[in-house]
Amino acid sequence: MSVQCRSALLISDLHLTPSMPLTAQRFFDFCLKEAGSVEAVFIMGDLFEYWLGDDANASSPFQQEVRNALANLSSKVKLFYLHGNRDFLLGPDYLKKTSMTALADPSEVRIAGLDYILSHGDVLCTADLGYQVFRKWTRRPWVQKLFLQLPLQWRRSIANQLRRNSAQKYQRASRYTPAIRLMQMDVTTHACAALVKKYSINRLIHGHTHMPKHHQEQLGELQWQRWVLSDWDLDHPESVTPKASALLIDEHGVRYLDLVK
Amino acid sequence: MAKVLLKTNKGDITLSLDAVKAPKTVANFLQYVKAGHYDGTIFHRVINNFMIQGGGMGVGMKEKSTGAPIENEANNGLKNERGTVAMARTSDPHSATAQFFINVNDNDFLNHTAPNAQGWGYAVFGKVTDGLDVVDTIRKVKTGNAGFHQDVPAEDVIIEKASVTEE
Repeated sequence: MSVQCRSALLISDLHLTPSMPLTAQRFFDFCLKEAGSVEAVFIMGDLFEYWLGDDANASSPFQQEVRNALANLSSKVKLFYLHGNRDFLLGPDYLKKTSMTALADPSEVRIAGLDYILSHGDVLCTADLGYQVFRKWTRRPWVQKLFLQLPLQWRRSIANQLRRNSAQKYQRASRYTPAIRLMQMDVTTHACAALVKKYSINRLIHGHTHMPKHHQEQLGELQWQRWVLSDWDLDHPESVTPKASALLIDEHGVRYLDLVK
Repeated sequence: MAKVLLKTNKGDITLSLDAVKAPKTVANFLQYVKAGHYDGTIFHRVINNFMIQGGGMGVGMKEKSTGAPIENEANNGLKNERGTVAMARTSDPHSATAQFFINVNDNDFLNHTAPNAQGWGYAVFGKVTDGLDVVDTIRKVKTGNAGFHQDVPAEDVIIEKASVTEE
């Protein structure tokens, strides 16, 4: 039995961290305000800037505040969590504490009578072969288990090293071949078509790419609609136009809800 | 039972209206039919497996002016089942004017569950008694975006004439 609801809000890529307090505050406000008006809320990955294990920094004031906001929200609405590429280690312990239901990536859901495929989106970036190899490795249960048994300090330095490498990789690529970089960092039409075909559902929603837009696409005989969720950033107005939005779905259709106020 | 014939460019659809269960909605609908409001309007929101909605936009997605909104009679026991016709509205339960939709599926989630904004549901006031095959043709047309609207048929599906065939 797949997930069903009458109305929903979908968000992703908030990249919550103590160093982005305005973004975090908007999320807390969202949990109290907008999120209460629907039956279900789907958090579709990268809620956190990074996740080193459920035990990491669990007692910091920031983590406590986020946890309370999620637990409070799940007492009012159905709350679903789909892992992103930054917080794929978010575990059963955390899900239980916040009463969130984990969804596989991809998952099919029925909202307001229509079927949708939900994915974080990184798995659809099939032009980036290096990343897909990395992803496969890091999603192996035994690799994760091993990693989570390391002292926190080690985990942190491994994560930092990985982030440095990936930043360098994309920087280098963008300097020399902007077009290739763009292609590699977006989802591919073929990967979307494969999902549409597999599920026989022609409505796809994902985040990850930070390029919010509604697309009407086709490949051969297949046609589908694709909605990309926005990332959130309210803390760097000097370099980034403040952005935060959710996708609202109910019987009136699908639309973006601007949360920048 | 009052009957309304919708002559569309895809074929004829006959609606039988339930004035016993939905007196205000039926009276409102018949008033728009008689005034010629629906003539030349299109089905502007078409979603296969869900519903086809029309009665408010002219060709070119021009919104027509309407009368005052009516009371929502969704608590009349009629269900949003395949082939039924119901009033469209905004998120305010009592905001229906002229736009209506035909359910092409059993849409339980549109039924009345509670007298509040979340659960009021959509008022069914009749059903298709002839021309369900035409409805099925319409729900399968190719759709795309038009301005802020999604699921708009690429080729206009026009209600050429709406008339009362039985009072």
